[in-house]
Amino acid sequence: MQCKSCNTELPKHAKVCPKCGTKVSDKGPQNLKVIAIAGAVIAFIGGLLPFVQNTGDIEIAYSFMNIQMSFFWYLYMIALVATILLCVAKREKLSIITTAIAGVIFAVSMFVSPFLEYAGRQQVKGGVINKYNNVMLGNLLSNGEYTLGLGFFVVIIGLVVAVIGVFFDILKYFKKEINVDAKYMTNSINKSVWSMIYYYRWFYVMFLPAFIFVLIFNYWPMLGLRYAFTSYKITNPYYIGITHFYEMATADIYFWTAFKNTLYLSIIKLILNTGAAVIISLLLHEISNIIFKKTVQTIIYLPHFMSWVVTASLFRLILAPSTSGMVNTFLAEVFGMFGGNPSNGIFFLGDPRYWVGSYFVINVWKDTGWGTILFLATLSGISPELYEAAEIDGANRFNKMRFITLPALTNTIITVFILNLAKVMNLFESVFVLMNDAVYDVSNVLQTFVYYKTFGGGRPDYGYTTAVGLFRSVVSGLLVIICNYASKKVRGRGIV
Amino acid sequence: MKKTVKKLAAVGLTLTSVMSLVACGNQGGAEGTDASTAAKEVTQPKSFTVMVDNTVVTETNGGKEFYAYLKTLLGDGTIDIKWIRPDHSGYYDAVGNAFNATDQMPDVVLLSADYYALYASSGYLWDMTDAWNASETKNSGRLIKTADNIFNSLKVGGLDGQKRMYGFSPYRGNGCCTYVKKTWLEAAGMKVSDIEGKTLTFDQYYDMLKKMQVAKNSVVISAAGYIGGEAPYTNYLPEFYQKAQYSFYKGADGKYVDGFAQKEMQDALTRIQTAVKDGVLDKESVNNSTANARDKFYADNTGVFTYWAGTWADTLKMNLENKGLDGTLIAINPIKELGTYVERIAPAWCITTHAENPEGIFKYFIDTMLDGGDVQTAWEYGAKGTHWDTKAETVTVKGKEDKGTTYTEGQFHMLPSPEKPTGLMKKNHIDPILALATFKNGTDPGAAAMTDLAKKNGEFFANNSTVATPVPYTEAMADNISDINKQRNIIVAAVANGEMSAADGIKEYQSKVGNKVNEVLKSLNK
Repeated sequence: MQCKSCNTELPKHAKVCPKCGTKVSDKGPQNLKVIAIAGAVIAFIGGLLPFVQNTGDIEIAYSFMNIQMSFFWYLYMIALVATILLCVAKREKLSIITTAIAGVIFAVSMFVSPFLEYAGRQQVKGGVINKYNNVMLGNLLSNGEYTLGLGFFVVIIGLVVAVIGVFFDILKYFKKEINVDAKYMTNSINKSVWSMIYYYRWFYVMFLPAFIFVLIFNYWPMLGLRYAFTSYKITNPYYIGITHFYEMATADIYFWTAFKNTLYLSIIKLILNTGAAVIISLLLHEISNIIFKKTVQTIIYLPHFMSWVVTASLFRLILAPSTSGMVNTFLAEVFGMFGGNPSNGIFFLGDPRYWVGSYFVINVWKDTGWGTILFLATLSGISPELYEAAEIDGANRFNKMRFITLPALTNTIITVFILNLAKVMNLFESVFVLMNDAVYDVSNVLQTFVYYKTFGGGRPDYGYTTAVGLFRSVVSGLLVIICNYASKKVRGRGIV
Repeated sequence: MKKTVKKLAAVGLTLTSVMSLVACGNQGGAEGTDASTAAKEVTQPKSFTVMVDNTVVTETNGGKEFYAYLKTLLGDGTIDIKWIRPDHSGYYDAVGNAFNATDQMPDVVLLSADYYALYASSGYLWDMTDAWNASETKNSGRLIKTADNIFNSLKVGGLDGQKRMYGFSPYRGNGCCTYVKKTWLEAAGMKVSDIEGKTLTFDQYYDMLKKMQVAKNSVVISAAGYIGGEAPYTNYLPEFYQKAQYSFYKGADGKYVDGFAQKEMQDALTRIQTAVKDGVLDKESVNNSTANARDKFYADNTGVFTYWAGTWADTLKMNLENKGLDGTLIAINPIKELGTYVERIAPAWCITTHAENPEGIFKYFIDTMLDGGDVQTAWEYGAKGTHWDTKAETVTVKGKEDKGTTYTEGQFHMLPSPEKPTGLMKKNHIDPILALATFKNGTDPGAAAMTDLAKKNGEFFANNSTVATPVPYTEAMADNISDINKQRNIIVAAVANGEMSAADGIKEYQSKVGNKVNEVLKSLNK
């Protein structure tokens, strides 16, 4: 757990921060401007959702993304960004103005500016462009084929929350003060942002390259998320609202299977890999011959450095239902199975009944060694005196493991488990190289689903696959939040 | 400090958001300008980009020398071609990505039949019908007699639905025929004369396979997939699929039907299931790449292999002999139930709408591929001095330095492959056996370098094959075909592995993608 004021790592059960003297409380000071920021973010998201939606198969939608005067969208988003910035800069009152401006822009966009109705494609010199017709809101709503969409309500809720949040913050209802003695407040709390930046300017200069790198390579690609709301089939995307998400949830025959497979394969793999790594670590820890121990460690680390392509080829050969397949040949010749003919053996990587188990075994083989590094490091930190004391008390090896080693390892196990849990949606390479049509139903995961949907023939639907990717990111985000919460509960501090 | 950083990070993120808005696609409703069709003088292009797969000699096999040599032959020798060479196995991933962004789109691209129809129907390929009709190649009188069939198969629907020619193939698509190892045949107690030149029935063919399976106690066929990845799809197991069609085709009544849902496919799947169950057909076929399947054939793990005709007949034989095996292969006639082998629709050279001077590119690049002279020689055999030569010399291959062949000045001969110097270079992009036009003097300069086996097998295939019929691409097809094909492949694998009967498989297929299939059929029969 860390001090809310100076971020110093606090001893367990500390009442006061030993560095700055801040009282330690489970319920820290509440900063209600987060409500205003959340409201602005909700309104921001609402700007992507349809304001007007057709009532049938929801394939046609209108929002900021297909408004004729597209700069309204930019103005709207800029106003919301200004709201967030003003909240951060402690100018909450001004943020009410920018929020109100966003509201006005929204209203004008909704009722005054025409929307663009997609009217097909047209070949021109140099490529293909979309054709559009102008339509007004009144015309859309008058014939009963369209209704107000989700975005309309989300934007209004977001704007209202943003304003209410500011009022709460200004009026300080429910807000608790940070009771810190002023003499200790040498940190950022009592200084302006700009003076702090100036004071630490050289640190920020050093930070700048990394910041730019992250912006370009981590955040810039995220701009493509807007395509999740478009029909994007070979350039020329046009807005269709939440159609992809609706189709994904209701009509896609592979999506939910892929989602279920992703969770199943990832979580079981995580449990097995962590469990195997713990067991191997405990066994290695019991080995007293250092040379033998190091040799074994090196051997079990090696598979981690093999590419998945090589690993897949290797296991395809080992598990082949033919005379070249080591496992089937062994079973046939030693145990006389399959009538003694390996060609009649088990098709481990081509039979849905065996593929999942084979997949887990291959993963354990490849990654267990690498997973032991952290556990072995933790084990090497256990004081030998504890073992000596236990021996004097008459503990045997098993009891020493049970009462000293495992408890010492528990925190690391939980940490490793939680950190990896946040990554469970990222499954791709290991599955992709081992899957085939015969096991598609049990092996297809979200990332392979996206791959085949994009490159599996036909016209790549980048809009749809971006929507699947966005869904995956949201689930991953939720898992990170859950893991962070679990980490706080278990370890006293979060993982992010 | 930390809070300041957090605040700064927040500011940074919001700035990013602002930038995102600026970057958001302009959806302005501007109508496009009309494509100008005014006639203009064809000028030589200064430069353009070309995206090709590994059917053009690779850069590790003297590709750069080929580019340089070709440059000296095209136009006045100043045309600057930028070659884009994605990884062969990921070629269509790269093509998809390139078409995704207009600024990355190549000017010229090589597309297989499915992708050709897809991009043509999406409006991204230049209509070269008029240019072709006025071209030197078409009016040269050197086109082979079946060339019209090939060029007709290249007429597909564009954005407006009109069938036009959006791509050019300088060679026939080729196809697969079935090779039987003589050693395996004899091990089964049969003679070459029992099958060579004969038209077997499926029962006779299967009986031969079963005899081989018993004699060798091994699977007999290991295919590169139970089903192929491109039209005509069924070409790796033609005897089993027979008349069954994997995709949509026009029925006798002129209406399109789903080939996969027909009785013929059900029967074909049953035959495949039986063959897997009998140990005749390798169940690992589902996992096989073409390289895996070839390796099993070379390793003598299999005795019958359906693979490409022409030059490959020679390559298969040579590789078997290099392994110390008897390389005698019998290419069998199409079985009675199959009728003919199917020739795939040849990959097409297309000019995209991104090209600034498509007429120039057609005239100075595409139309020259079959010029009947130096350029055609380069496309067939590669670069002079790297892949072939005409100077007086003795040519040896690595490992057989004492067995060189001496050529006199002016005598055309192939050189050792730069990538694999243990063998001679065989061909470049155009298989000489499959070229759609002859040379100006009537003699292919490399004719002597072609083996009799390759020539004979090429002729054999030409006499025993028909060109696949292209299926028009509609919006509905483009949107749904990946899901439909995926489900078809899943069913084929499940039935082959014995998880369900063929009838149940077809039922499951219909229950899962029946709506999508109906949507496609509706669009095709509109």
